[in-house]
Amino acid sequence: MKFELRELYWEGDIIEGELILSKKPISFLGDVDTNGFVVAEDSDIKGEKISGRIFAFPFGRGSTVGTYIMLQLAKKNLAPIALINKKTESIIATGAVISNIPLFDSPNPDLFDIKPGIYKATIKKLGEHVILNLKR
Amino acid sequence: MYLTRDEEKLLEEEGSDVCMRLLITIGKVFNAEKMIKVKSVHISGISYQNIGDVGLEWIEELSKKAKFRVKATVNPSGMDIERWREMGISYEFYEKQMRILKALEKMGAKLEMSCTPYYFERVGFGDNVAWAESNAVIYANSVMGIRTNRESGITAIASAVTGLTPFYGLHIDENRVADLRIKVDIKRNGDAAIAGCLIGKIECNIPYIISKELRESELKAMGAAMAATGGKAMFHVENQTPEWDFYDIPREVVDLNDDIKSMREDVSPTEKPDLIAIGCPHCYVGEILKIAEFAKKGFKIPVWVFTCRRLLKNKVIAEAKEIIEKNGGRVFCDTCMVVSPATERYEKVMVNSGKALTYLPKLRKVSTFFGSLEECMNVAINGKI
Repeated sequence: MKFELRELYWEGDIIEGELILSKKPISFLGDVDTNGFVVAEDSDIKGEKISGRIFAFPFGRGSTVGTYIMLQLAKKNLAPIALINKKTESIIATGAVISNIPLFDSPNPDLFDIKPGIYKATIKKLGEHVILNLKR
Repeated sequence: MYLTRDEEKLLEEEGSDVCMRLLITIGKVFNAEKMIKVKSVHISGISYQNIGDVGLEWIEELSKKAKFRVKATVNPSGMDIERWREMGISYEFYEKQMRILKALEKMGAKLEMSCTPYYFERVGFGDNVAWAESNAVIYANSVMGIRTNRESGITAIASAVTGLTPFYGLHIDENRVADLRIKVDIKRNGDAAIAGCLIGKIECNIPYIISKELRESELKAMGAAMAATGGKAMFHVENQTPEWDFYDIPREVVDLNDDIKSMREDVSPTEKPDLIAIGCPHCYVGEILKIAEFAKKGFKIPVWVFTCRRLLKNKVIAEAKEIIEKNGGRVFCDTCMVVSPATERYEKVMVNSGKALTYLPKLRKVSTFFGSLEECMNVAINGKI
């Protein structure tokens, strides 16, 4: 499956790894623990690790303190290797930049139409475009 | 996004590089075409209680490399920096809070520690600023015609370092247009704050409010409440706020009817509060003088008043403070009931603020009652509800 992404913050040209997809909005303050595991009761990926993975979720919610939680994960090398949103808002954007995590949004077609779970993924720059390739 | 050569240079400079990258990313998120200069910055998120060690370290790291290019003020911190012991603040907390403040001061911040920069800053109608602190944002946009988005502590710091903000949102005329008309019936003192709580929860971007003439303190309380309950950043009041007739007036009308009255019944005290806290947002002159008048009758329940240290330089205010403190009250500066852990020592707090009513139960885990300033004062004087 191929998706075009909007690049918001990225200085590299290729990202390879596992992608974990959730259809629920995330607050880094409360929904994720300090070891990088999803702890939100109502999450469709509860108990899964986001560290070292490309983390896809529709959008951020909740307190701006969440930005510092992202930084804390990054300092412990437990941050995701990239973030993909349906629509990014300021809190996630701020957290991504200060933690130096590549950030993308507006996947076309809609990435969030597929099932939550873990996929193999590659994000690549092709000229002006950024393409996400996804495999089960 | 279009960047001038000077703006591009900021990407190369140590300290401003991360700030510039952040503002460019925010600009991309909101499809901003360029950056604009800001005249003033107000930084929130500086209480150690809220940002912890990670926040402290981030600000300290930045302060080793960066300097502010525009005038920046800061929000209340977690304690009165002179009377922290009296507030029951630990030495460890004091020390960490001071490190945050010193790092901000090193970069060039003015440590006003007020959430009401609109009373002190020389900015006015049409000026672009980058303010964090939701009550300051909504007051600036609505009551003063200043233009700012709802910044976070970190984006505000980035604007202070670069002097810039991305051109989007409320900096642009067409985004300052109201999208829903709301009729409110303000009858008693305190109703404006409750109306604000209710308006915040109504789904709309910028409300156009139809009301009898509101006092400045009512506009302040109403805005702070709707920013707290619904993240609003601007409102218009027909015939009253400076931009009310600049744009098309929305057709759709919602009437709050008896909602204000019934919410007030729901949030009135059901038992005796153990603390009365006034000053969210920070008290201005009129409120402090009024509290001093009530204080002359003696407070049987402790009354905490929060304001900005700058006001106490005025002799009349300083005298009012003496009167309040001689009669069972305390006047604290540099902090407030919402961002200080001190409030947690109490169980039931009565406030005259829709914003404090929203945040105290969540952030400080205390039961919270509401009354107008007069009602709060009478409970304090009588020692019962």
